[in-house]
Amino acid sequence: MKLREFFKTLILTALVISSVVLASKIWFSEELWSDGYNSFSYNSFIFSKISSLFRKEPKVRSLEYNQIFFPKQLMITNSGVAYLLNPTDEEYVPVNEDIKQVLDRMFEDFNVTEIGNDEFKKLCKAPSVFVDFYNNTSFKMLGDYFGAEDRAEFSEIINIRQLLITPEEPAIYARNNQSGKIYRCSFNGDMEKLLKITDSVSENSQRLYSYAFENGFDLLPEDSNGPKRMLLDPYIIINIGETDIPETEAVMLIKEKDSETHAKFLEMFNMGINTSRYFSEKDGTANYIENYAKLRINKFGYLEYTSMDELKGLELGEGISSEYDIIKSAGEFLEQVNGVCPLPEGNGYVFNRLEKDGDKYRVYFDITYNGIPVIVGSQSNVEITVDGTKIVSYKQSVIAFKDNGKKLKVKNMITALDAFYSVYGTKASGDVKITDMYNTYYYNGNNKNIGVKWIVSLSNNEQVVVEGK
Amino acid sequence: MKTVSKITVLMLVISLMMSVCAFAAPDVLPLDVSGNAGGILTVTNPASASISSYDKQHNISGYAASGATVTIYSAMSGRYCAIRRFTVGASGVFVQPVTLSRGRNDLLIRADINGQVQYVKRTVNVLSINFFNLLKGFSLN
Repeated sequence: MKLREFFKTLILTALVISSVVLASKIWFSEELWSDGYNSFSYNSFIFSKISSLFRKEPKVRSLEYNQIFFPKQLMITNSGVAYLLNPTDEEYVPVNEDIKQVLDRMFEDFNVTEIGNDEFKKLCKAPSVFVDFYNNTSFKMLGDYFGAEDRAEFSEIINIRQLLITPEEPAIYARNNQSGKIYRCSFNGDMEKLLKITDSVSENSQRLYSYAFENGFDLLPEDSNGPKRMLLDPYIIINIGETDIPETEAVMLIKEKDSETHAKFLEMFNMGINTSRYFSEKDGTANYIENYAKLRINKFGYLEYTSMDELKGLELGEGISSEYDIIKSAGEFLEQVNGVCPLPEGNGYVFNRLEKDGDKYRVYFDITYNGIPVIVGSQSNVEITVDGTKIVSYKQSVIAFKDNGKKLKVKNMITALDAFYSVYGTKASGDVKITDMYNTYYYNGNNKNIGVKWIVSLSNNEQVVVEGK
Repeated sequence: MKTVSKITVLMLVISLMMSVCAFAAPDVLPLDVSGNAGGILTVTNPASASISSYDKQHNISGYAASGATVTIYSAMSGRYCAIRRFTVGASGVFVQPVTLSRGRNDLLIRADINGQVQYVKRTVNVLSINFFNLLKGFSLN
């Protein structure tokens, strides 16, 4: 009799324990409700703290310096002669790492003074390293990255697309490309590595690379009867050399109707494959809806998450107090999503720009292949909308790129300008200037072989795409 | 009749060759050469008639009328000799690297299109680095 009672107690105890374990799994680990349908929303903070003890946090690598501050080229100058390093060059990575160290040192302590354009132009031709970013950045953003304390001057040193480092006299120069003001940030630091780099420029090299101002393309010519052309930003690098860039092809990372991968993506967006309603559109696009959230995945790998209630959305975490925090957190979330379909070698994501729209921020990231950004369907590959501390919209083409074995000879800049004038020149009004020119891959969703294009950015915010080969 | 047509063809060929020779940029030009047109060439670098530099490597840049043939000459032994020849594209923009010698370099840039020819003269004085250092030394002292 006693033995029977003992077994009954044992079975009951095991059942109670298993029910507690399974219930906790369902509540805290699987989290079978969406944020908007949380039964414990009256005290979600406590439950989120408890659930975090049970949940395995995905391994997220923090964004690297290069992913936020991505130079499209580095120009090393000495005695008026220069060479250019592109992200495809082997030397680019170590030199960029040296630049990062110099910036880190500068942000510890520096003095700011303003200098004139003529002095800056002279310095550009002196032994120097010119860092040419794809997009504008600011000292606030750079300072936040390097953990520097906020300073009053940071509010003026904005819209920075280029930095000039002069290793002979330790200083970093930043130009606000809206106001045209140039700031000298002098500091004490070891510039040995950058000095070696500038010393490596051979005096007898051909002048394949020069600034637009050295060629007089930034000013109206004195002879007013001569042919008229659009003016160029003085610090555009004129590259008359030709570059070999591999042609690529797109790789689809999500297979059609791959429910296992879909389930992983749903998990990333706090949704469940078993708890969300599913329907498929005529073209095969999968739609998952769960309370206040919707996730669409189409057969071309386009993924779109929308929070249907602006108060809901995906929590990015605490401590978001600056624009840099938003970019960093959005980037880390992107890295987390990319963990579902790991990117093949040579592919990566870099920050493109941040746009403010009322209380919301839109963060754009570009996919890069061999360091060259890929424009997918004329826009950035990832768009993340953040409202407060929540992601309310997320769009990404989950694709990657690989070599197709062919090398492309990319047109030099002058030939690209000719192509630009053929398509745009006649439309240009006198006030429009060319503010930037750079190479990108261009994928329209259908082209099998993806070649290189030239992007010509204009002062009226237009971007003209020009054939690159 | 046959002789007349042969002579006509011969005359046509000769006149065509002469016109080609007249329009194509010659390899050598006298120092006092002058053009017959304006408004088809702007040289932006060097921006002024005479500049001094201590760089032997220099870019000759500017704009020419779309489709114009541009020839760069350098003065040697009392005449201009062609050192670069190219046709500009739709933008008309050109940047041509040239290697100069130490001392005075007299350059002539010629643009020609549809029989119109324009010349622009530029002088680049390439200073020796030692001379530059000497000047720097004087200013320091």
